[in-house]
Amino acid sequence: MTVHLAGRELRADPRAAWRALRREVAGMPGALKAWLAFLLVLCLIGAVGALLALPPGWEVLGTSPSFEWGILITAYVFFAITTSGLCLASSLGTVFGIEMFLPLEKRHAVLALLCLITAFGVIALDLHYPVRMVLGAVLSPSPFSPMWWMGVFYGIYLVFLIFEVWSIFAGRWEIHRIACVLSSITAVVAPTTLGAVFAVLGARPFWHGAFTPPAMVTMALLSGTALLGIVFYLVVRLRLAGHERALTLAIPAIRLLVTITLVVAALVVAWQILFGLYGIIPGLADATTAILVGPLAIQFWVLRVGVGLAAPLALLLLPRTRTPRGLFATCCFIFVGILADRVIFVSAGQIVPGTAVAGVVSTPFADYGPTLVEIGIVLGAFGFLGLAYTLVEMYLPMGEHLGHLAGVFLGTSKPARPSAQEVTSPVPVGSPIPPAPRPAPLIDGAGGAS
Amino acid sequence: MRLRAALALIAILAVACVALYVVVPWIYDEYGYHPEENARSWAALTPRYADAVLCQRCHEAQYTPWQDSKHATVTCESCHGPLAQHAATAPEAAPPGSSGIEKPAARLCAACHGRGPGKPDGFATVDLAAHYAGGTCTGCHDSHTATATRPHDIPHPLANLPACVVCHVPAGLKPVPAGHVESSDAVCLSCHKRSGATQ
Amino acid sequence: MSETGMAGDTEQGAGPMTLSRRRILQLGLAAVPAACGARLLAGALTSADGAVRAAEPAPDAPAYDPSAHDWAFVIDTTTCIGCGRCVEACKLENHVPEEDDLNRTWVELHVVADDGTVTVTSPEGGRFGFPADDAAVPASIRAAYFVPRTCMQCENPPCTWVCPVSATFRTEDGVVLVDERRCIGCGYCLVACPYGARYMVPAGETTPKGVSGIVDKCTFCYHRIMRGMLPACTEVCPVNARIFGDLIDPTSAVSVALTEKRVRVMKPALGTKPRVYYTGLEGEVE
Repeated sequence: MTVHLAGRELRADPRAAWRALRREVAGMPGALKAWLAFLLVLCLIGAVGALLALPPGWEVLGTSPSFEWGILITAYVFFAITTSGLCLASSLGTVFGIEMFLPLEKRHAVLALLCLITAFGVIALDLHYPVRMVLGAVLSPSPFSPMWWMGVFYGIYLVFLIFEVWSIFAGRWEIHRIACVLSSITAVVAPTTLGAVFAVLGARPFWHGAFTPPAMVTMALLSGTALLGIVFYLVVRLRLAGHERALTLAIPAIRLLVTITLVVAALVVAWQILFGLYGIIPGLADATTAILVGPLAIQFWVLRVGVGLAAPLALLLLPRTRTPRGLFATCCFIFVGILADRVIFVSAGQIVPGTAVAGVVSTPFADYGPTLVEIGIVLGAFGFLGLAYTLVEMYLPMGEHLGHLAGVFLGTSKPARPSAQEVTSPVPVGSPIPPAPRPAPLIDGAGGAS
Repeated sequence: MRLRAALALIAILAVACVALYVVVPWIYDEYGYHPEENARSWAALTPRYADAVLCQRCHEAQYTPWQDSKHATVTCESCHGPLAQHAATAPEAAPPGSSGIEKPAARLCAACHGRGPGKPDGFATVDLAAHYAGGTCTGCHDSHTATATRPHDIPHPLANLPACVVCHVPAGLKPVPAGHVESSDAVCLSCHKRSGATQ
Repeated sequence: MSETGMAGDTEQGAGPMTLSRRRILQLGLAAVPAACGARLLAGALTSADGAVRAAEPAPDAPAYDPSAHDWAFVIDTTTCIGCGRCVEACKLENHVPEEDDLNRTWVELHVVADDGTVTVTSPEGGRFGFPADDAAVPASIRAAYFVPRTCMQCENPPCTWVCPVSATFRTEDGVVLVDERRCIGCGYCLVACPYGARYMVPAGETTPKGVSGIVDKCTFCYHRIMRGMLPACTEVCPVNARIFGDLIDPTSAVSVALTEKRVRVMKPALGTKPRVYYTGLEGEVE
């Protein structure tokens, strides 16, 4: 039996596969080997952590009744909002047909799917009975529970994303367009339900309020765009598939989106803090004080404000750093800042319990320290995401498909057949798309093998 | 064609709703969404604390004075722990000392009667550090009758005397009873002092 | 060209989402073994996950009609002496984990200093009483009292609203229970409870029904009140600071206490409508 992969044929017996793998690895550049090795180590750490966390109730997490949601929940929130933000950012191209965002269309879908799978993996390790969650959500649903809605919408989102990714590589453009629309809609609704999970809790004044879901969507957009910025800089730098249009269209598009969203995010953070200081709502002032001068102060001032807001704003403002490399640095800083922001968010809601919990009085602040297992799982999640995306980038055709896709999204009547010309010059926004490039089979059997 | 697809989708959703309504109890067996069944299942647990009146059957000697004492609001199990199993399984006339009832630890008395912030006015408390240190609560107090017997007054004056243990050796004059801590005079005198006696 | 679509048959101008009747029939027939598989899977997985099949009620439990009762507590903080017998009794009656930071019920000491600051302590939940000399307690005190705490069995419980799998529910007689077969251990009810009444049962310990890794909380000793007994904490309280009873019965201890004493609940502004009423609290107690 032979397997077709990336235009090559592989014999599917173990020895031949092993030989093929060794040939493949030997043919890789050293930097790539080092990168993959690093990611494999992270995945291994995560796998060990996951095995330790699987038996229900094993005391491998640092959580306590006073501080039940730790960094596993934070990591889940982070990956969930990143996956939503990816679709949100690229929906400007795929749903609204704004041409400068079109180069994002393929990579965002793959990244979103991988991020969502990572998110589900992390949360499955935090739940003590994850299988019961799936069964219970279907068989004994709870429509009053924001967490149920979150599960429903992220589940639907997973289905739409699968269709979206499949339809790209199978060349099914109509399905792809519909799937893009549906997943973009879900990508807006799902993080609001995730925000609602926190927002409905009157017991946690820091989380409570109608402001939390829109703030979650803002952070989602910022996080997704930042991840796209990181990936597309690497596309340009390493000259991966589609790097010309990435340089001319995707990078400026991401810069535009990052700038706007960063300013909005800065305002969101500022008003969360200012409002919290008013002290009228019991418990909120204490939580805000914990952020400003308490146990969360270093994370907040150094990581959230310094690295996550001030540094990127400076990089975006200064003319000298308005380069692709500057954008890459900006997006890296923002990414770190969002992770810190979610840690602060989840911690601040619980750090001032407002009551004794199960007999434990926590004054002034509740204690929580992540265990090695939790840290290992989070590292493994990042490692898995990196490894999976690197493999996708290496072995699947990730370039744009101008004739097909652009036609579908920009509203020309039918998806055009590809022609043999390569586009090398930058395409001004608004001008008609020239015929598609077809230097080599980008997708096996994509509409051409009739 | 799109209409057919849409109709097919609606048909599938309708079937799914009907299926959930009908099949869920079957899939979840009696675990279907009927929380009353789970509530009823709590009756399977066996209580471990019983009613104090059961103690009267065998422990009349302690029960009767207890009922009229100041400790009448303190049920047997408050000090002696869960006794439902003991009440059900203990033989009718168990020899004393093997009743299987746990004797409360000494600090139990302190939990209620130790003086500290929060105790309501009018509730009997003592400052334990200054209250006949060195003895046990039950040495003077009977918890079932909630009465106290003062230690005997010493029949001789205490001035210019050697240490207590010189005379009150185990084999000597009025020997020190078993269970008394042999230590400094201060410990002996913390219980055995007549009011106004000089040291 | 033939699209590799979902259509088993080719149709004129087939689009990507055409379904033929044959395909629908195939899907329908496939649903039957799928449902059987799901049933087996659900059974296997729920029991593999440690769920305990509910046993028949014990033979000595009389028939219990939940709709005939409405349970509530009145806690008199002017009488509580902080002895911790209730905490001990609850731990032993309800198989509560031995850890001192996991309690279904506990006693707090509230000390109001002369300058008005409030210090709350609860050493090991108050299980062994309160030490006379606690460094955390200020020296000059304006007021001090003990506050026994437990699950409030709210009429409008946040924990019940937020459970994603409907594992926690409120019975007709006013007790919030956790279905141990359904709980997934997500902890949402823990963060939702404004009164800190819930905890997660760790490995090595189980709930009274033998499950680990799920949520547990005060149940008003549901297995006792179904038999007409009092909750264990009420049974052992030496000073009658805990008054338990049936609101439906006007002669019950709780109904009488509610007419005689001035009561209030904790955190009324959250709208949870607790069923544990306190008397004698100072204003600063939330």
